[in-house]
Amino acid sequence: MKTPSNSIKRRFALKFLRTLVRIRKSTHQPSPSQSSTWEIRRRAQRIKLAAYSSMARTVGSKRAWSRALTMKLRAAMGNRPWSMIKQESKKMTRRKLIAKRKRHMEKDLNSGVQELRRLVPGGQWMDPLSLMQETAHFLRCLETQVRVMRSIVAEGEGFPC
Amino acid sequence: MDHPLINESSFSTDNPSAYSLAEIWPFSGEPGNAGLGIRVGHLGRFVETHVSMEESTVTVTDQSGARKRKEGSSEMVSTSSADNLNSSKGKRAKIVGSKDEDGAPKGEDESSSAPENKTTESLKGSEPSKQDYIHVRVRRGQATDNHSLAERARREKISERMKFLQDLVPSCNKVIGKAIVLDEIINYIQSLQRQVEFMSMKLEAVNSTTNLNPSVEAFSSKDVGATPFDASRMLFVPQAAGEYIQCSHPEWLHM
Repeated sequence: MKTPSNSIKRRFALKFLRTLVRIRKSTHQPSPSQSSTWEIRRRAQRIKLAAYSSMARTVGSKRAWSRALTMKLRAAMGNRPWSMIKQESKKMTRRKLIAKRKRHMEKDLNSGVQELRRLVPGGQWMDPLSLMQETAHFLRCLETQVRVMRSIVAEGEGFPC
Repeated sequence: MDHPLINESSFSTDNPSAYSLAEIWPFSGEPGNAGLGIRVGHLGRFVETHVSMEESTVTVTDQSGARKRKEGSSEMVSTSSADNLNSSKGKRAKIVGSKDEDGAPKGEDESSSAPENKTTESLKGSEPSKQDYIHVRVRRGQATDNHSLAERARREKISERMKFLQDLVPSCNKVIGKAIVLDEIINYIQSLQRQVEFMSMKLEAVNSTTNLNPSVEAFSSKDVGATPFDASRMLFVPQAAGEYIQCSHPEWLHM
């Protein structure tokens, strides 16, 4: 199935998780009266990661991109060096995996999906066909995410404290 | 598709409706089909529909499909079929036309028509495979054409998914062409990611200056459809798989 069921349910789950995490984080924050730019950026970065991680959690393990995203986020949060190879190596041996990626890279020289592989999480290891499918799903979820974030911001800005 | 497209079973008597070429080659019944190429196209369509569904009923060839094939292939195919018609029966590649031109093959001719249809396939399979049909599934050809078959199927799938993506992205509705669509999709994804970044900065500002909690219910009711949600439940039961969690008053009002 190519279309995610971006019904209200998904939005709910997404929003629930994200809002929850965000609120709890914000309540535990130190008072941000005189934060440096760096701190502000760091907090914004945390929020962004929270958004992506809750999106990935909403989608679950059903999609390749969500799995890849989860691994990537874990690395980003923990600041550990991470390699996708380790995650994918459950299914294939490492050598086969690298060969697979090389095959995809070579095949795609003229077709222009290289950039797409870079954008979609986990795109380097997928064959072009499933890449398209994952892209479609990823796109829909991304749209949902942006929409929800926008509405949250609208709500938050409508109630200044 | 590892079996030959047309094997004996496809022309067995189990499927009487499948191969009555008279139905499928109405020499005078089809609108807008006058040339020889069309007939051959029909045959190809027959074969392809028969093969693509595993059943026996090939009742109506897609007239639209046939017409599309006509646009693309009539020139190329008609020549080959003309050759078919004129040559003798003994050769492999030239049999079908003559036989078919005589009229509908009768029941007793089925077995003999089977190899002939095969040959037509092979001949036609080679010609159209050089052209690029966008919307017609052309699965003609024999086992020797396995590669082109697989290639064609693969390309078809990719283009189908590309079309789906095109519908998804609002900005590439009008353009045609794989490269442009891909570029647009990439741009769109990048813009969405940038928006996420922007929103996260805004939210950070919002979170640090606003007490969001009183508005949570209003927000949820607006976005969700009049159902407030329960934060503590969510915390302990983080079910991401789309469960419609019924809620009570949010519990995190502990500012």
